[in-house]
Amino acid sequence: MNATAHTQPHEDPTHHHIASFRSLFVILVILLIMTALTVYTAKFVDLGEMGNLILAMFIACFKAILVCAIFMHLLHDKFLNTVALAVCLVLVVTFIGFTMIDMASRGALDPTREHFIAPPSMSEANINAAIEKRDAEHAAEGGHAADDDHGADAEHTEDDGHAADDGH
Amino acid sequence: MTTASPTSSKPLYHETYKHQEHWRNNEDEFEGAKLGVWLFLTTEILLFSGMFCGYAILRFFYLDDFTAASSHYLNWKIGALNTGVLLISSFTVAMSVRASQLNKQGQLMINLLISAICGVIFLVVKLGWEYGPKIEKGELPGAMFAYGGHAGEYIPSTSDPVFLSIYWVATAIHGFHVLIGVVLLLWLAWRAGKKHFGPKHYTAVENVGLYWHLVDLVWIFLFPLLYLV
Repeated sequence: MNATAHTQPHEDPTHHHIASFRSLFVILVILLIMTALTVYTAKFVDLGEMGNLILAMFIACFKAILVCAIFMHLLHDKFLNTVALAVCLVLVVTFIGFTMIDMASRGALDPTREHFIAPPSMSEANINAAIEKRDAEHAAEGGHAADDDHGADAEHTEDDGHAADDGH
Repeated sequence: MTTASPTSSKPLYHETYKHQEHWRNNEDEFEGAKLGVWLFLTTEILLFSGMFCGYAILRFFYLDDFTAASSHYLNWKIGALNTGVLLISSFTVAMSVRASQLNKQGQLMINLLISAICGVIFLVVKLGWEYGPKIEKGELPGAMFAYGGHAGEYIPSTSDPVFLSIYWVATAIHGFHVLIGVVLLLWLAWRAGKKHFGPKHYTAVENVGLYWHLVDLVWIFLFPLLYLV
């Protein structure tokens, strides 16, 4: 990758790194292949609801790193620019991460409507129907969200504890 | 500013470019401008992170419905085509930075124009193949959503207008960024035509390039989230 770049550094009086054609082109090809891979895995391989989402985001992060490092020259740039980006990403992770912690612990505050906050257009009857349907599905799966009150209460007290732990 | 002697070989703009007075030298000016653009890009990332966060919340609410809405309302082939177009334009933008570093004026112009054309293709595909038919069929965000317009056995769920809201907001704001990027790339091409950029001075090419790559980055995340999973 650096072989071509090193043959011509002195044409550049500012001594900036000049990316070689080959490195840029290889990155483009990798990016296109990764895109095809995302499409293929998401549309034709079933990894479950979360599995596909996580894989797609994993590939997208990999592509983003390539674009930042090579196309946006962060690899050969002043480190300060990387720091600016890194600080921003910490903020984004805090923002989305803490929102998700909040979402996941909603049931601790409102046991009757765990994970269910209805759009304003939805009527009370529809909300109750949706909650019943969800609880029935959980019961059918033999999932942890048993719909008898004792089970639910015990679990939510436990959730409370977890949520408090997450917060610290 | 030194006035060039009126000879036939007038020095080119990029060869004699002198930094603004408040900078020590051209290099400091270049790095300062670039850091400024990086800081701007961080604000852009935070802008889009609001949409990603909204998407995450809504997806949390409507797990299966979102997947169903995505495959019903959006055609992943169009999204994949646009992804390819943007990736290629990112490559040509990176190539145009390289061309100005090596003083290859023809290559610089060609790469800038290809990038701008890719941006236009993206917008034409987006507006013509997605937004146009969607507006006709009433597949609009929130309260504007038309429940009646669905042919066949597909029964819209109550969360469909919500999915379409996040789709329209995220892609329209992204599309607006593409539009600005196309204008900037054409501005660069116009200046490149006047031989403004060369190895000693290519600040604008570098910085518009960074902006364009960010637009590409946002799409790298939007495409799988909206069209695929």
